[in-house]
Amino acid sequence: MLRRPWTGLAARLATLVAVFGPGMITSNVDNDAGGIYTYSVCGARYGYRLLWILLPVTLALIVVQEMCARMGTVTGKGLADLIREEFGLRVTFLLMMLLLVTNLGNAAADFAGLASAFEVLGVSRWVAVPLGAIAIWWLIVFGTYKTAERVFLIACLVYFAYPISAFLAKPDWAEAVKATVTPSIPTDTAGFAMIVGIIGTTIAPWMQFYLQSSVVEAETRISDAKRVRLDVILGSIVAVLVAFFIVVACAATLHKTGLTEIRSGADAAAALAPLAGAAAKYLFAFGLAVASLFAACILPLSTAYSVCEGLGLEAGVNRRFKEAPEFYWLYTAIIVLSAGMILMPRIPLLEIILASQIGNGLLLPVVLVFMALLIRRRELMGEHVNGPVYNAVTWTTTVILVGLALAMVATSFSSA
Amino acid sequence: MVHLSEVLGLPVFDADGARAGRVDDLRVDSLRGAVDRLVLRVRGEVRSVPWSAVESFSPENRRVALAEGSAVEDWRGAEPETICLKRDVLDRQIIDTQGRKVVRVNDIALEIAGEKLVLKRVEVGLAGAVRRLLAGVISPRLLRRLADGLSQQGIPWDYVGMVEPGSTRIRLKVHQQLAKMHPADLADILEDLGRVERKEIVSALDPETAALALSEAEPSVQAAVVEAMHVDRAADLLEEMPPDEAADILGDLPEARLQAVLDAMEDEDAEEVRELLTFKEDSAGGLMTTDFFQAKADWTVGETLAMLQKVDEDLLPDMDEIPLVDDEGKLFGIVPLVRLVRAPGGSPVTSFMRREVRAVTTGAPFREVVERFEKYHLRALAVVDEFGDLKGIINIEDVLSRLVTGD
Repeated sequence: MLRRPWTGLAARLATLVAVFGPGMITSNVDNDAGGIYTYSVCGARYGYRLLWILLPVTLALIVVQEMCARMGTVTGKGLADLIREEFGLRVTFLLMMLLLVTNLGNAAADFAGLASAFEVLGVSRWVAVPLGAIAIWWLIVFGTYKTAERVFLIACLVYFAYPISAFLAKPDWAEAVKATVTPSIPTDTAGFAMIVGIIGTTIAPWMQFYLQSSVVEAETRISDAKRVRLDVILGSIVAVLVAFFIVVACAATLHKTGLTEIRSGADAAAALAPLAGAAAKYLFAFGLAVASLFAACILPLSTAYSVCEGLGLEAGVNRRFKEAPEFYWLYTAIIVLSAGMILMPRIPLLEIILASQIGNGLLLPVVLVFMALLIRRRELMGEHVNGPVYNAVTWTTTVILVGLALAMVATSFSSA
Repeated sequence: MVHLSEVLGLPVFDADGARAGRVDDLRVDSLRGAVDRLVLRVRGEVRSVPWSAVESFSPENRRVALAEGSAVEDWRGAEPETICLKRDVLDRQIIDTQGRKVVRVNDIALEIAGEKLVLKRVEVGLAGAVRRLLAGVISPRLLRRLADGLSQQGIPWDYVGMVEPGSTRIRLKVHQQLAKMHPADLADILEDLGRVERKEIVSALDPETAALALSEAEPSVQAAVVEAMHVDRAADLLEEMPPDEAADILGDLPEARLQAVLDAMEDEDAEEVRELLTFKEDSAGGLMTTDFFQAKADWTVGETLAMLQKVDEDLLPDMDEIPLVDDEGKLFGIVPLVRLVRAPGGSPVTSFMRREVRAVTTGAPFREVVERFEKYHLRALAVVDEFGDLKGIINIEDVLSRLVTGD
């Protein structure tokens, strides 16, 4: 009667996962299909050259996530809630619509990741995507998400394949380290877009909403602040480390052999060949499928939740359909639309994925501005307002992102 | 019906027809529930006029006119017993005390009644949201027709519970309505509120009601609430709780805070809680309550029933089974209350008891406790120390809630 559903090793792993905080979970979801492909493309196309971006991105990621966690802890309210209370309905509505569109792109990217994973295995997307969508929808509406989350987190161990593969590929470490500390900026549209995409996929706007809501949901207290900060910092570092090794693995395999344009999952899978040899494609497909499904579970849910929260509509999976119809319809619509997009004939999966991450990078500065304005309000945050370092990092990130976005647009016009 | 979304931004004209400013907010006398001042924005500055100075008020014609000789005054901010609708209510979380849930305000409906502009209800549905979003974008008439066609979800002002701005108490009527709610509903509301609102509501309730509500909340919420409260208030509230629940909550607090609250509690209550805190949380000692009724083995049935008359009301829900102790405080047996009620008053209470062989020791793990309950179909289980002294009892309630909330 008291026995847990799992015993032995699985149970021990589950306990380990249970102590993961919101920061750690968010970081794991962060490396979704969008992340894996964006980092892969970066490594294949530019080799080690853009690795240096990951250092400032780590700093920004830690600062941004810590701000969210702190706001959630101090106010006990989600990010959308706070924006609504401080900036009114109209501003919130516009922001929520932007978030909805961007997140639709992200959800589509995850279904694209799912499709791509199964295509590597020779399974048609017409089978994989609808089945995946139905499974996800069913899981949230009727299943127990908490159990699924643990399974997903354990499956995320597959990310360790990248560091191992990266080491086995015998990369030019001297060059990799040098590239990590030497900024080098490409000056064409594609280059700017790549940088925006990397920032956007690592510090995705939806993550901030998701993280803050999780912190609130977990009833984090101010006395937990240290533990939460540690959780967020570790989570951010793990997320970027995974990104680092994906880039290095792709640089040392794909880029080195002259395969600079990834056109399919099979191309990207070759980065795991040093570890898995001929089985690389299975390993890659498994990892990509897990990452895609995990994110495709959380994204529509988090989006529907944020939008309803911001617009003052009832939300949450613990509400019945009748109590929160808008929430459930929105949730369903996001899944149907994003999965449907991937089923359109001749839709290019990789382009969808990359574009969605660039979309993240474009929305991010907007969200950052709201966060920076909220967290400086003393009546909201009391003594927990931002210090000068945090403010500097937030505003610098915002300015750089806006600059990159403008550079991207400007160069695309001049080259057109 | 007039909506706040239509009123905000309305141009205000003085008696000469000159533009005096725009409506920035409505201040409401919260006792009367009627608007008592217009807050205006005049060339970037905030000013105000009393409602009595308004000669005509017609949102349909997008026009507010002031009476002859009325002067625009400086705005001194809200005073006690007043609320500014835009600043304090719009977009905020309120409690729907009738529907017993937390909602967010999209719009506010008022009604012109004679000379007065009276608060009718707050709108929380789609119609209110659409009105807010499109106000000033499309024509007021079209907007009205559009919004009227949508689902209207309003909460009558009398059932609106909100945290009064700048003060540490909520409005009296809300307090009364909240106190009338079932503690479990109140607990749900606490869970849905933000940190500040939650704190205000808990401090507004009397310690007894607050303790009842908190008992029903998730453990993480309990700890969060108690940690955020003033030490003395927290102590008052925990004194009202059964010591085992108080110990559970305190056990989740940081050490310094825990000691501060214990020090602020009455010595007797604090002592009980301190003792309970020494047990591991998922052992029988951590689960049991030390606050219960026990009978002496040499009493008669009549004496026992007479003693029951004097028992504190809080203990009644856990009174199905009564432990008997001997002179030294050792557990002697258990007697079900139902059997006592049916028994002749003069007979010794021990004739209706069962010898308690099922009691557990304070160190028994939770699993063992549950197995006893399941195996012997128990409602309550006695807990003894290694010498057989009765230390406390575990009620099936405590076991159930631990099972449900997980490990």
